[in-house]
Amino acid sequence: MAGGGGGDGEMDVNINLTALLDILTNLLFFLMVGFMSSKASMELDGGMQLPTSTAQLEPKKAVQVTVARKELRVEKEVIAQLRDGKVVAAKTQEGKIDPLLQRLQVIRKEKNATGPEADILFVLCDKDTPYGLLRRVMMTAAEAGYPKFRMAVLMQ
Amino acid sequence: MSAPNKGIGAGLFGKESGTVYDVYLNLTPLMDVMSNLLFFLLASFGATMVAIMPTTVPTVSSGESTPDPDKTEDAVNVTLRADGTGITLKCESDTLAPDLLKDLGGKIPKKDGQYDYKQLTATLKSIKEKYRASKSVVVVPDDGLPYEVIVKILDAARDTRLVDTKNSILFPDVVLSGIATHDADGNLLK
Repeated sequence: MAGGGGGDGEMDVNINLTALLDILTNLLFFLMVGFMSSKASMELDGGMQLPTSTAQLEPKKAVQVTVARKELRVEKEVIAQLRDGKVVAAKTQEGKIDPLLQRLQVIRKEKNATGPEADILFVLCDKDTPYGLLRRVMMTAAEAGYPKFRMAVLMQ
Repeated sequence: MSAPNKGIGAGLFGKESGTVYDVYLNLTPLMDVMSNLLFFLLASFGATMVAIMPTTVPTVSSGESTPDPDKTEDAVNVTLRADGTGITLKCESDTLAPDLLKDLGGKIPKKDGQYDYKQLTATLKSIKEKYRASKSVVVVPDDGLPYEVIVKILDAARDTRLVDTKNSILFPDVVLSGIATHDADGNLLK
């Protein structure tokens, strides 16, 4: 293993790193597979915090609605601004949020999906959001054809 | 780095004059890259431990609901109303007389300014033990209640993890509602 070795007492030691590299490659492989299999992509930006829960169900991909601290988003598109748990400068009627209703109706028409997964929304909601706002979001979504929800939480 | 070697293996592929080199690959930079990747993947893996809670909202159905003829066990639907003073439980059933259900549930007042989640789980557990086919709970929170508190109520209603070491399922079908289900006297509206 050791090679060389001059008169000064110096030695070139070649450590066999192959075994360690094997372990690292395996670890890397499993981590990357696990990372890719987390089916729903989440962006928790804008200081948003999810509540913790004892729920164990894995997230599945669905149309994503985000109720952040300052804005309401569908997928990544900002639909309305929020302030103090209320929708700002967006038309609302009978407790529904019009821009959200229109956007979700368009998405539903575009996807034209059928089956048990077609009417489910994936909802990311900040932990301090008052229920009044969340209820309006959910009622609007139900009106647009999405009466079932997967509420995102952090595992305890 | 490498040196010609005419020892063992020199005659590989039948060529007696072949020369074998001992090559030592420098794997250290590759190790560096992989260690960095591993570190970032591990860090991000821990940060995205997200789970989901399935819920629904009440919807209007055009057809009339008919009882399932295959159902042999009695089941109750529990309504939880969370307000500033505590949680009120009410039970109703399609098959049971209201007199049988009036003693189930009741009010669980707040304890030290917090909802008593353990008491809620214990009460729901006693209901579930009596009517094992029960699965549905309708949660009616006040509009000002933060989402975090609602999640805790749903956790307490879903399984017995809060009071038992042996976990069992209580009411997995959750309906979130903001529509008044009780009148001013606390009676369930039909």
